[in-house]
Amino acid sequence: MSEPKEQHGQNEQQGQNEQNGERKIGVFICHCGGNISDYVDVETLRASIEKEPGVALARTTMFACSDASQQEMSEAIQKEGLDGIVIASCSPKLHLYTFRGMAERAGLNPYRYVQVNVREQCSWAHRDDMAKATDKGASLVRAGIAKAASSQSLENFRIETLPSVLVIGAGVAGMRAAVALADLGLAVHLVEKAGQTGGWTASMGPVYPQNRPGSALTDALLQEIRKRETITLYTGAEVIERSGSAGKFSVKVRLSSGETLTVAAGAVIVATGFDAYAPADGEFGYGLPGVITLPDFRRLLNESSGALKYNGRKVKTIAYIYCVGSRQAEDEAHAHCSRYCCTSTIQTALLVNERDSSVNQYHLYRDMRSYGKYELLYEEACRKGSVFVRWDPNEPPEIRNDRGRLMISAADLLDGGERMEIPADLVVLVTGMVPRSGDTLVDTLKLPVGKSGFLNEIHPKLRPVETVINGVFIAGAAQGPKTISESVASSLAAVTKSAALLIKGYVDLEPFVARVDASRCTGCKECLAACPYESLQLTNLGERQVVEVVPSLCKGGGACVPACPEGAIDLVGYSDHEITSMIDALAGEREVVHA
Amino acid sequence: MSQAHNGHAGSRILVFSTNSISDPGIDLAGSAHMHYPPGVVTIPVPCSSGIRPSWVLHAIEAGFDGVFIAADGTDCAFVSDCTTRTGKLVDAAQKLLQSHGHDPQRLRMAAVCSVCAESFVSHMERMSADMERLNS
Amino acid sequence: MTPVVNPSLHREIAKFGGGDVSLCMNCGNCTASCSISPQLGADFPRRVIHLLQVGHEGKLARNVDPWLCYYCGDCSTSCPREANPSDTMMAARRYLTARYDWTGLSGLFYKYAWAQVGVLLLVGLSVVAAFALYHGPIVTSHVALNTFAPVEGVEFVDRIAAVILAGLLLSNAFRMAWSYLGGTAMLKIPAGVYLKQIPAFLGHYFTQKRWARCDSKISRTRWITHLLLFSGYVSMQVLVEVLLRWFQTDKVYPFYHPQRLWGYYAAATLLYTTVYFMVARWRKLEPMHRKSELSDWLFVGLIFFTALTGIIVHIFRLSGMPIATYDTYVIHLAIAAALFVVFVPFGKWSHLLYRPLALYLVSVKDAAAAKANA
Repeated sequence: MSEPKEQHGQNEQQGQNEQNGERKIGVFICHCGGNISDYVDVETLRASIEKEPGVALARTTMFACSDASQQEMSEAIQKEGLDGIVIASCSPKLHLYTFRGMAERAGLNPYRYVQVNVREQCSWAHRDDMAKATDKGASLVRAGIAKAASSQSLENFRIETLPSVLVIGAGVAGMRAAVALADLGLAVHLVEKAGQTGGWTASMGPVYPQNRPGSALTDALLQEIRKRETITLYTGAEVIERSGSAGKFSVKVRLSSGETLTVAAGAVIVATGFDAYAPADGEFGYGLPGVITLPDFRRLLNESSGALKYNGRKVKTIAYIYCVGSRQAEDEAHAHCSRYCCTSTIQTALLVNERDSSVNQYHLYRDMRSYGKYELLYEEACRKGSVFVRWDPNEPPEIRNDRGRLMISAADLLDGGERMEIPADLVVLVTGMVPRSGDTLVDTLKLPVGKSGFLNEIHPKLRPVETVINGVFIAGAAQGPKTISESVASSLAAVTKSAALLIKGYVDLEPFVARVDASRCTGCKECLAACPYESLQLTNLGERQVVEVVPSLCKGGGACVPACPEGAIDLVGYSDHEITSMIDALAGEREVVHA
Repeated sequence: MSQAHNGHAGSRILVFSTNSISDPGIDLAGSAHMHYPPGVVTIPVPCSSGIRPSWVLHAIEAGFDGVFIAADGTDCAFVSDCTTRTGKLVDAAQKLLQSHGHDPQRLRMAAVCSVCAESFVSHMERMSADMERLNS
Repeated sequence: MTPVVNPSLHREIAKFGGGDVSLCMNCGNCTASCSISPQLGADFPRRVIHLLQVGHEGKLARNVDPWLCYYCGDCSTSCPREANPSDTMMAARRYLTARYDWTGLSGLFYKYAWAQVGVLLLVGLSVVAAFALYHGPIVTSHVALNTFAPVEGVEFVDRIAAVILAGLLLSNAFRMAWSYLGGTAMLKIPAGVYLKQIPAFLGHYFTQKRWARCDSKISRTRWITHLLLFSGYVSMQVLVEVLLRWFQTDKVYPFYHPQRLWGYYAAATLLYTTVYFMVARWRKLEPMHRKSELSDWLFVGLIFFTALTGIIVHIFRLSGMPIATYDTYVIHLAIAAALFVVFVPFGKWSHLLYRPLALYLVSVKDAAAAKANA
């Protein structure tokens, strides 16, 4: 698409070929060194498909992905005037974009390229039977040829984008994102449901490593926000409706006054944070006087001074029970590790040491996950007298009231699993992070939610912070348990992704969207319910009402395809014709001539 | 594993996989050098909820012994109720098979995640053997 | 019944010199590097350390592991947390000594320097005062020690003291055995088992042969030096407790007389070994000397001064200096009395009994168990 003119010329020629019913497809079969050719007889394969209808040339190559090979294929496309190519090589996960790029450079529309996976799904899986692997390879390539034969030139959708971002949630992640976005020249609408900014971080008290109060961090961010005129902050406000798509969202916000405001934004960053796990009544003694959660204890520490007291009584011994509401059994709600709590508890214990060095502290943990530099905190806590006792999830500690004092019965794994009783004045349940409950935003924005209940990114390593909804990014603990620094890092990643989307001023979307054959559409609306993204809508066609697709909203999943009783909907690239011709090619009698 | 399927390599199974979830899982089986019957071939689609029941019938009539839908399951990035949707179209496809005189057992569905190579292989071995039995 | 732990125990043990116990993360390097742990089990010495951390007072009282450790220091050298397990084991020995002692004085002495020094001074000064009040006629024409301090009287007081101190020590040792053997369960072990293991007790008592199993070279030197100290010490003990009438005479025997030779041997070995140990502690020669508590210095120092004053008494007597002889004699007895009163039942001296007793009790328990199983 970089040189649209030339491409246009090529397209015309391709169009003519197709009209004549003849395709000029080039097939390239890769040895992959020996990864393919050691188990699939590539020459036999080549010979068996070169006479297929539409195949103009069939070659083998040592490494299709090498520069030399790409050059050769590129020359063949131009010299032979190919209008489709099939490369039988590795998984498309590796080189789909490599070869699409090659096709584009050669002047061939990239969507006329088909990759056939004869390595992961053929040579490597059938190393024990070369003849059968070669047979299978040939039918896979035939299916590829069938797909290439019905391939068309497709164009990406280009959408103009707005230079503004809606950030939902003004905790540390959202606030930091707002500042960074403003510095990139993007306007920001920062919406916070609560009456004030700062989120959890503001209530944390002193945080690692400088032991500055969390509120000092969020106050500093608030100052930065106020300095930037391009940031508009709405507190006590809530997002109630979303329409539009990547580059041009339109979002309704209900303000604290009750008024509704419509905000236009090119991208949305969701940084709505987490809920602290609320223990059930009786869970690890929760409900007994003196059994409190970690956030409660941090608040108690922050809001008092002098000797540590609870309910007017001096606290001499504290026991922390780790993993409350985290790492639950598979069949319970929260199987995940909450990540921040080991470190946070150790840091809390050190704050207690600082406050009153005579307090004894037991840490009843399952696994100590004070990873990275937090290990140093763990060592310091040991040095200052914290005692660590490991428990087995099959034998959790039990807490009871013993004549006005709390008594913890714990099986000690380092003492042969024998139980002991620890008398304590305070039991702190180290509660983890759980997804926001009763969050209507998930429905409003149609956010993807993972098994754990947190918001889901597309791929944790390759596409973090991105969601399947183009232009909607997630940041901070809304995505899963994170420390403050991890939250900020992910929020800056979301900022970068938003900027990458918006700063060019336009966005290109892949063309694999649904397509409605208006001549067959009866306007029955069955398909409308099938699409959770509202990308199908009714339109007037002469006297009839038919369904049309809003390409910018369509995710290309195809859920609407089987929903249509008339079979009028196809997914571009996966049309009924393409799939059935591929099935025929795969099922067809295999007449491989073994050399 | 390599011996296990030699007896029934003849079964021909069409697998509908999904681009971002089950197809990588099937890739992994190959990358890990696991073996499954070579009569298994795959057509990847974006999401298992977008498969037309007519394709299943078409495949059986074209000569496949069975069709296996390697569904997204709960990992689906497109629709949160992918399993339910795929389940519904499996029901519809099985009815369609039955009405055309085919055994509905020729269609199977299971969620195959992006690292579920072992479960894919065992599904294929079992299905291949079962289809063989169905044919005889 | 499930044991209730004492959350302050790790603070308590710090007062006995085990201040690094909290640092331990129970990795087990100490066990791996210990040359005697293969015979003692996979949790030696880390179990003791864990019990201390967690606060298991009861389980510790029933544990004799600290007495089986000879402080070679290999564990401290290999500890990745620098938690000094060997120092912790030493502290555990002090802690156990205090726990066995029903009078509570031992704990007081270990934890509070003023109490220890105060009682040492009190005992010493009491001896001086007793002599000031009750000494015999002072003969100045020649040395007549037995006139100044009649041997019968000294011997009488000596034996009374010995009975009291031994009584205290044995009662404490009985408490150790009672705890280790499981209280009344102790009474169910047949007498034959106890008797049969007595030779083992004596063997350990006189040879400390377990020490030789510690395979560092320096441990061997220390074992031999310690054995030398032990022989000198036992010599002195026999001379003053059993043979005092034969030993404390105004008649000066020829140089080769056994009375003089034996006395010289005792004095020489005590002086040599105590100087050796003091220098070692001063220079921190070995891991065990890295950390010296006041009680460690006092124990070795008082033995040294007891021997030194003893030999000075002898020199003054040979030189015919009556007053100097009498005065030094009083000082000699004052130091020795302080040493015995404080250290025999309440302090470091008790290890002479506790170490071989621990080994004896272990063999008794094992033998009883073997017999019950048979």
